[in-house]
Amino acid sequence: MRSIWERRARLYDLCEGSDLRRGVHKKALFRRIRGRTLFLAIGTGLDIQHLPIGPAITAIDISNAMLEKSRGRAEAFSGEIQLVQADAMGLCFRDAPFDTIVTSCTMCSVPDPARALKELYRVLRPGGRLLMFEHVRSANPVLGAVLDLMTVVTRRRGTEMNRHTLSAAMKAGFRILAVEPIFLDIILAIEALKEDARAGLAS
Amino acid sequence: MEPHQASARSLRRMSVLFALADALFLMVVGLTSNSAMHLIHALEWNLVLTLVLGMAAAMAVQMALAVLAAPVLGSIETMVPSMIVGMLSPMQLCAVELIGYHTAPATGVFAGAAFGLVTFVALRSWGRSHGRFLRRTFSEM
Repeated sequence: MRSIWERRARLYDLCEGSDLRRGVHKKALFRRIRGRTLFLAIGTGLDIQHLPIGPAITAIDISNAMLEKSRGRAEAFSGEIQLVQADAMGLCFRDAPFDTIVTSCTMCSVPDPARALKELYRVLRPGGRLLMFEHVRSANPVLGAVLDLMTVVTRRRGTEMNRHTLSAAMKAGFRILAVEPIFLDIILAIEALKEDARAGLAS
Repeated sequence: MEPHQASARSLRRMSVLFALADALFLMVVGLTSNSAMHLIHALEWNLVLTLVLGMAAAMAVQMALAVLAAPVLGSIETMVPSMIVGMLSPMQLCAVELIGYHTAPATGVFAGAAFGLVTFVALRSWGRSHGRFLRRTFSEM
């Protein structure tokens, strides 16, 4: 997986660089970032421009080539951002240091999203928020079939077009607070919560 | 006007512009993929060869258009709906040929554009209703 992204880093901005349509929606989602934040799979840093200034952000990626490409954007960012090479499926952080976790078109690319989401659950503090901007398999049978067909090809480049990210997040223990469809039911902005057991006891 | 009102208005304007662009894009995919199929039919090869090569030509045209439009309209936003149009629209011509009629090029083009527009309307309508369902479902949790 790492080698796929090392190779894709060279042409990533050319292929995926357009922010015209999705940027405004990402910015709206990222406005909900609070406190110490983990940004999963920062890639070449295209999303850094949408991040709010204020929270301390740790941005990780499995690929050193991607992180190198993101360095310029991170340095130009007025807020606090630290780039770290790490694997989403085995995060190098202790339990629950983060107040917010953000993913942006990431769950399509991790080999085992269930395992990655369990890791996200582990490193998010109770009461913390998970903000996801993801593309998923459509519930529409025709669109779903098209996405299944596309996955046959895109899988070779490290991307699955037919993930069930909403249900995977729920299975990992997150409570889904809100889902905003961005494009049909394929691109979604999701806000989820890691419930604080102590809050339940107190009430 | 308050800043949040200006922002909401500008978002709505963008949304309308992208919807128009999506509709136009799918109409172009429909008419060009139909034209590709029509060209193959005009060669009057055997049915199976015509179908296979016609679909290959139509899909090649569809993918090329999706890749060209992606920087403006988004990669998934172009590729997914256009695959529906690129695969199904040329089949209109094949179905008509199978029952013994030959369509004029202009008819094929018009049918392709119409198919693209109908696909846009159908997907958008479905997207809106399913979007309401998703918002309702998860706001109640």
